[in-house]
Amino acid sequence: MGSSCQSQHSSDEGFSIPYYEVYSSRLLVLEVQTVSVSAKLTRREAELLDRLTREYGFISKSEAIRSAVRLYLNLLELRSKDRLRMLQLINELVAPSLKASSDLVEEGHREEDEL
Amino acid sequence: MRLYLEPSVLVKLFKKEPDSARMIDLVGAIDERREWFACTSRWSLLEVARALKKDGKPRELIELNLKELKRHRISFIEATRKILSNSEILIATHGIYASDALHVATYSSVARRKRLDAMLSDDRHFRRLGQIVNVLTLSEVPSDTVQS
Repeated sequence: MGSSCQSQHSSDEGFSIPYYEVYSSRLLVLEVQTVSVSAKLTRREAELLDRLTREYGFISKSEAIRSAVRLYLNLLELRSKDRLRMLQLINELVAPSLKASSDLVEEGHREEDEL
Repeated sequence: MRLYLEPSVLVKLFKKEPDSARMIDLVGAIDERREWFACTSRWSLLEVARALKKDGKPRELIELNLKELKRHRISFIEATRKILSNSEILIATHGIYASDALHVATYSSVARRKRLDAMLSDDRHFRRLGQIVNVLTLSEVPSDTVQS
């Protein structure tokens, strides 16, 4: 257990903010530099983003986009086998199907033959 | 193991079905173990894309799946004039689909040079071509060889 320390901050207006107790050994200060990135979305994507931001309780559309980007980046950083397992799960959630892979490939072959 | 991966097993990576977990383990082994090798025709990417489209996957997910497929230690062999010409002969001789012929011709073109053990496939059509190509199904790959 680390030792505790107390700090008091005063604002410009002169009122005091209550004491905060923190354990120094557990205190991690990260300096995060941020950059702004703009992205163009289709009208449909923007509408969907609006809806999902409301439905999932994101504080803003920017927060929803940040979460989506982080989720995607985390997926890409997984090790090979774990990434494939996650992607397989996403595929099943987005478009579940009972057709076997070999049947799907076979259907494609038949299409080529019919051309 | 040194394998040629036919599209019917590659599509398994993106679907939950018998042996799909084993296929993921197998790709993991290919990525992690030096002695493993895997290749397929560049044409396979189109067949995988078409199968996923037929399976109802949206465009963004198909693109993501194909990008994923290219990230692994799988060599994509170009469909050269020689391979296409050999495919024509295979179609005329064995009456097989154009795509199947392309895979057999591609397999044959690299089998010796890349010291391939077999073509990994879930497609029953390749069984008929046993004299030309050594076909292996995922259930025939011993599970202890793919698990790390």
